[in-house]
Amino acid sequence: MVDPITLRRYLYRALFLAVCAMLIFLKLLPLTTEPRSIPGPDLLFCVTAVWIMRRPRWAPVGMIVLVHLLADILFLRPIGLWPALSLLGYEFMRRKAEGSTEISPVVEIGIAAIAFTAIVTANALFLGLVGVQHPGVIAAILHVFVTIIAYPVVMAFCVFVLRVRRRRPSELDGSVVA
Amino acid sequence: MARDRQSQEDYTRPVRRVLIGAMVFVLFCFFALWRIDNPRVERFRAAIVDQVVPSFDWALVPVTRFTRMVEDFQSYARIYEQNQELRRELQQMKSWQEAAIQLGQENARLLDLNKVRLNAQLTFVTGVVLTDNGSPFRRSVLLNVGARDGIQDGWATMDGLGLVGRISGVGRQTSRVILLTDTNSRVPVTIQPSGQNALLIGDNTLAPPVDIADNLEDVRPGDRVVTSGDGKVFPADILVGQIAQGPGGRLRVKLAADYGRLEFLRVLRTPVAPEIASTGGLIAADEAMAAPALPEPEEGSDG
Repeated sequence: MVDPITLRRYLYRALFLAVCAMLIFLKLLPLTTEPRSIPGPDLLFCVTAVWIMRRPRWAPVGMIVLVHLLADILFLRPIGLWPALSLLGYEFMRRKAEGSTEISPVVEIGIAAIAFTAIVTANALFLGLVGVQHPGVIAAILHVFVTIIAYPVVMAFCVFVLRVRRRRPSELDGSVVA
Repeated sequence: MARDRQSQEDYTRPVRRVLIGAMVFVLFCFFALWRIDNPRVERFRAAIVDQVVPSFDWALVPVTRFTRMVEDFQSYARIYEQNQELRRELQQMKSWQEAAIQLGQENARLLDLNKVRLNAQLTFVTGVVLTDNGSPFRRSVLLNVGARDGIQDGWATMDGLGLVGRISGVGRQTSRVILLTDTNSRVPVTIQPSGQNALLIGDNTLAPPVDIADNLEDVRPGDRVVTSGDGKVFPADILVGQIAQGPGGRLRVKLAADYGRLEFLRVLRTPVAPEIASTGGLIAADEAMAAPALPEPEEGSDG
């Protein structure tokens, strides 16, 4: 008999993988072939951030790395750099959110914004360091802005539709969980 | 059990840190490998893409199509198809438009060169047609350029294509153009390629007849008619039109200018040709130094 908590954990891990796969898939769709002036938000980051700031155990490091590496490979990005940096960013976010049962959404968005900006900046720096062409400062800034704007939407979706929520105080105490 | 997990958490924290550090290190190694041995890694990437993307293939096409339909706010397949078709056509039209613009520019360049070859001093002032004159027997229009713009009597006027008429009457801000179709209009022309000289006589129709001085047999319908420059009324070689045979066998000129839509007219600044007045004091240097007076433009063959 499987422990219901463990079952739920595995279910949500599968859900995380499914959502990420869906996002990668949607990005691969040839919807707009013409170059757009405003880069789209990094939804993969948003989803992972929401997961990691609520239930880090539902998004294990291995899965995050796997998904991001796959995205790197499929999106023709430099392989490895973005996952490495974002992994550090996720770790930062996890620490910030750890143990607290309630973080106001504004603070959460702030944390995500700081992390994402840092990741993008570090990414640009590294690319510049090794002499890889970078899309440009303005595009990067736009990308950060769009992602930050998209973050609350993703957060609302994950919380209210997928029901990825923080542990209640009762759960932290270790009482029986539904 | 919860207590157990809590302690487990405490225990796993350093492990997790090491794990993440290792992961980041490995990923950086990947990045370094990608940077150093780019072709090999790109081949690897291509292989993975090759594996992954076609497995999505069954979903890619319908989802793409469906999303595009939603984006276009078209729920009916027929309208969607039509929309696609129209877009394709629009794209083709755009390419044609581009071609037309390029041709137009090339044409303008060639015309410019042509103008230079004709006469380097030939410039023009463009005016807007203000009014037609209402009389059924006089063919003239009023332009919004006049003496203020340096317009002088007798200058030739064209639209983009061919000769329209000549300036006759200049006010301060306006000037009147007697059209070639006016019954008073007489213009000396040359018919090419035979080189016959003729007189274009306005007769209140859109195809004024020509009076050919010399050999009638050399002229065929379709020949080009240009101004001859005789009598110094007009600069030479301005296109007038084409020869056409009218009813009754009389040769007429189908005018090149679009008389149905006279909107903007160019007034050609005809430079006054210096006239040789003296017989030339080849020996007496004092007389030769006297500059010949610039003559007034002649009234020429205008009626």
